[in-house]
Amino acid sequence: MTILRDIWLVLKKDLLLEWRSRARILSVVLFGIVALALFSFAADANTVVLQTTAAGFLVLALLLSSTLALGESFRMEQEDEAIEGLLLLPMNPVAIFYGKALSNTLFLCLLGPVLAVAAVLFYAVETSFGELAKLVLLWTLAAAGLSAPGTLYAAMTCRLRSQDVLLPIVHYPLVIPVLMASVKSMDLILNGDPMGQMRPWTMVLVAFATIYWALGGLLFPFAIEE
Amino acid sequence: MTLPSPRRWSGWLGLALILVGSYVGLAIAPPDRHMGDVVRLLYIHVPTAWNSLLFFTIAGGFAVGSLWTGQEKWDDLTVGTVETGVVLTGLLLVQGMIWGRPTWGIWWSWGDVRMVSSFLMLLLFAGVLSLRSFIDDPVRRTSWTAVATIIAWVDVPIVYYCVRWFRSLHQAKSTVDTMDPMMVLPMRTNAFAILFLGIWFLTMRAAIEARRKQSEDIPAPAPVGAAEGV
Amino acid sequence: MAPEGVIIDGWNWVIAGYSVTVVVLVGYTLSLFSRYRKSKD
Repeated sequence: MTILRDIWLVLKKDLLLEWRSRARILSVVLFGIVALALFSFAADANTVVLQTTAAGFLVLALLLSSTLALGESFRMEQEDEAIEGLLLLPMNPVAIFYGKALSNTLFLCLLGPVLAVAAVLFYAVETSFGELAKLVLLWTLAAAGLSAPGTLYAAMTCRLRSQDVLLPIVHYPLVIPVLMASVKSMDLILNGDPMGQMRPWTMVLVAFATIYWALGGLLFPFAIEE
Repeated sequence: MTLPSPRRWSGWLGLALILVGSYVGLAIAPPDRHMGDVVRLLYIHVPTAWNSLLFFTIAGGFAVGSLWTGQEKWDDLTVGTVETGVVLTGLLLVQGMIWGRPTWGIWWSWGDVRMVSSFLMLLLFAGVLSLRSFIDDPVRRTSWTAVATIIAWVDVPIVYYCVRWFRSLHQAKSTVDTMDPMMVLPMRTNAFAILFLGIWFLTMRAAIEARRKQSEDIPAPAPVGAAEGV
Repeated sequence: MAPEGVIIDGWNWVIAGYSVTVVVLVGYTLSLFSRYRKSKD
């Protein structure tokens, strides 16, 4: 399958670039931690409030970091018109989408363990390793759900004026289902799940990611054609 | 003979219907046994809600048509429909707040499914319009608007069901059987009124878009004096 | 005045709701007309 090979090539290229400029990964991680710290002041540094809203703040930190990560991932293509070169390659544009979306997902997944531990410490959440593992799994689903539409939108907004404003105003309303489902399910992990609501909310995350990963591949060629 | 463009007649028809419907709703229909005269708000609020959803639904179809055919008229219709939907939804939310205050005692409730999902739909499609307004290249503007509209459109049912799983205080839907015929009449009349007004809005907005594109196609006028050299 | 048993007597809310509707619909119509005129072909 050449398309799988092409996806792998795009992904490898992105990962290599990320690795060479590790400062970007670190700055996004730092940004997430700063955001988590800010939220605790918004909640009046009240331990009880922080414990009950920990899941929400964690997901918000992910969402805000994703804006930076998504914007950056296409800003670097935009510099020196690198994306034009990518499009000139004898490569299915769909492969570019999946490669980019995968690298964005992986990037956001890397944030997961760091921010989850930071949230547990900052917000004095009582948790176990098993729960943390589940949390990271949900985080991966949420990251996948954010990345697919985010990659599509970032590919468009990176070529416009005011890209920094446009990406969030189109991306945030769209991913509100991801936000709601991951907040709910992570909260159920951290604060108990007496009603067994875990499954439906996890299914929402799976469904959202599936729909937009499929739709993104369909629509991406229209978004980058010249 | 083909039907004249809705731009000629739809606005007048909508205006006539909304005057009749609102007259019946305000002057003839009886006050509700429990809610009193406030119920008259519903004769305009519910039709607005039906139509805002209808226009967003149609917008997805136009956007698919626009991507599929690449013809400009589909793009004009997509913009017209999305903008009409945004205007109607904005109106819907204000009406909803004016309804919510006397009946529930609050202007806004994050627990109410229809209110919150309408608001999120407004944000979604307003985002599409503002994305469009930043695109200068006409070819990109057409395809990106369609792409963004389709992405937003697919999200609508997901948003609705997610919001629904949070608790709601919206009253259960009344069916026609439980309502006085004098309450059904203004609601139906206004539903068609807003439908026709909306069709007029969308065709008018599409016509504006078509005219703008025509004037974009004409190259900028040469500076005075340059023409003599031709 | 509200008849017996009615919890809310709300003509002022009704007037507010319909006024907002009129303002939005008329305002949008006017904006369409002005944009139509400006988009001269």
